[in-house]
Amino acid sequence: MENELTASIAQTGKQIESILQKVRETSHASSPVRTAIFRRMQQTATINSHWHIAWPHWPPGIRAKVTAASQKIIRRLLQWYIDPIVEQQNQFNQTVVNALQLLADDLAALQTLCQSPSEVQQAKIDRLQRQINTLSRQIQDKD
Amino acid sequence: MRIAFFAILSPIRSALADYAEGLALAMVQNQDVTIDFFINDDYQPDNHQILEKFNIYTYHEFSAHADQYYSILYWLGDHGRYNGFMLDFIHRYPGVVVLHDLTLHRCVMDVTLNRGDAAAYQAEMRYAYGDVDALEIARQIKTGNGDQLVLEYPLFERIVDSSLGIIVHSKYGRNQILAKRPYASVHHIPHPFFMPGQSAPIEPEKMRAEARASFNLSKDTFVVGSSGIFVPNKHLGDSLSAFAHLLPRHPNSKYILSGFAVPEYNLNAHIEQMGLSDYVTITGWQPPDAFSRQMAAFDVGIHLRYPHIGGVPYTPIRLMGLGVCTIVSDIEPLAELPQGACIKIPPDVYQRDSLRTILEHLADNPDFRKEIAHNGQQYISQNHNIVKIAERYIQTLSIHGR
Repeated sequence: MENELTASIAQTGKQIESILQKVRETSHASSPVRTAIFRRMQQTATINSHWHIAWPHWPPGIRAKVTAASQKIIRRLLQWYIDPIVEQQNQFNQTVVNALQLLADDLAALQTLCQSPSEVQQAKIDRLQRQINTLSRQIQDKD
Repeated sequence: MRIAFFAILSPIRSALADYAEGLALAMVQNQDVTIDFFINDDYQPDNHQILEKFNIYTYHEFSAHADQYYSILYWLGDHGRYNGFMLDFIHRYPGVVVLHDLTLHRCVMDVTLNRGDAAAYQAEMRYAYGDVDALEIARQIKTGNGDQLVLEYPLFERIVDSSLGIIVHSKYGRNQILAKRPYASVHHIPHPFFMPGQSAPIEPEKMRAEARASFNLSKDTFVVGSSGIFVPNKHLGDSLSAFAHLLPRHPNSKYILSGFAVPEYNLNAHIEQMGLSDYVTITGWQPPDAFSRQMAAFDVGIHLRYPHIGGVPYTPIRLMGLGVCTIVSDIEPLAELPQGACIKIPPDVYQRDSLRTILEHLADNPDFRKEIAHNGQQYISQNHNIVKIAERYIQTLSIHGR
């Protein structure tokens, strides 16, 4: 009995989540362009202190290779000094991305509010619509 | 086991009074338990069942008889006028405190600062948070910036320190208290489901028919309802807007507001402005018995709440227990209620759209609605059974007795 209930709750819960997810996707706040921009920002928010030296390929020429190898060694030796700074920079970047995301959400919500009629306007439209329906029915009845 | 129960009782218009009475009646079903109530001295209790079964004293009489009690239960919410009389006793006669809200800031403010004793308020703040500008915080709370501040400075610290045990209704509540006072003895006991004045098993279908008849509702009317004291953070604007959105396709719908709005909130004008006067009924305040029965008339009950002050609202438990498909805000105090036993809507920028879509879906799909209602009712009967919960209270009081 208990398992049956758990299964039923889980199944119904999934259906509800799916409805809520659809609302989020179709809302103005989740346009494809906006999602793409944020994905790109998310990808570039995290930096690695060991990137970009002889990566993904070693540079051509012996002299360039030797320079790259020395840079790699120096950077490894200075890891204790560089890594905490990189970590702080990453934290800052992530915070900026989150802040921008929140601002964008708020802006999207405001845009939605501006584009759609206000609660009062919508209520008036609905009320007029209902009056039209009632009057149409009365006219039909008289005919 | 003889228990002194500091609480508020009917006719005080608070869910805490209704729920204290229901729990006390369930606890004395255990033959070993006797309960005496200690209440404030500014009202006369009027629930006949309570007057017949319990001795009721004013708090002035407690000190002379304190030795007679094995355990003391304090039923505490953040309303200074109703609950403020208990604070002094909690420190003088330690017992088990049921914290209905996760902040007591306004209650403490009421019995100190608002009665002209700024020094006592500052001392409370200093005890809990050290050197803070207490009067500036109080000023901000009074000017309406309070919701965040009362949670940041909940002022339950001294109450927790003075108490033998604390009872809260959610894991969130327990964690919040332990984060401030890691060595406190905090018990998580959920709300019990019961109907005031009814000892016989509940027959939801019969109650539903009776409740709908009392509102002259036809069988096919789609009824949405909200219950309680209406304040702006219950987001009735969004609920009414979702209901208005539904009307063109479901003209035979009604919205019942079972309760009353606080004086600062002009709910009637709002309803009129939305053109919903013909579709919305506000019942006004009702005694707990009638108030609870009215909920059975709903097809869908909506109880949104955000921001919150940490307490677990009781209305969703009652709605679900009655077999009403219930929509709530997805907030921390309601984390234990699973999605699927009710509908939890996050209080974010999508709230209005989510509510519109969900309500429309429920109106269009009675089977889906009934499935959620059935899940909710079963869930409540398994997890909020009043007999089991009354035993847990007795057990907790016996652990922390003398």
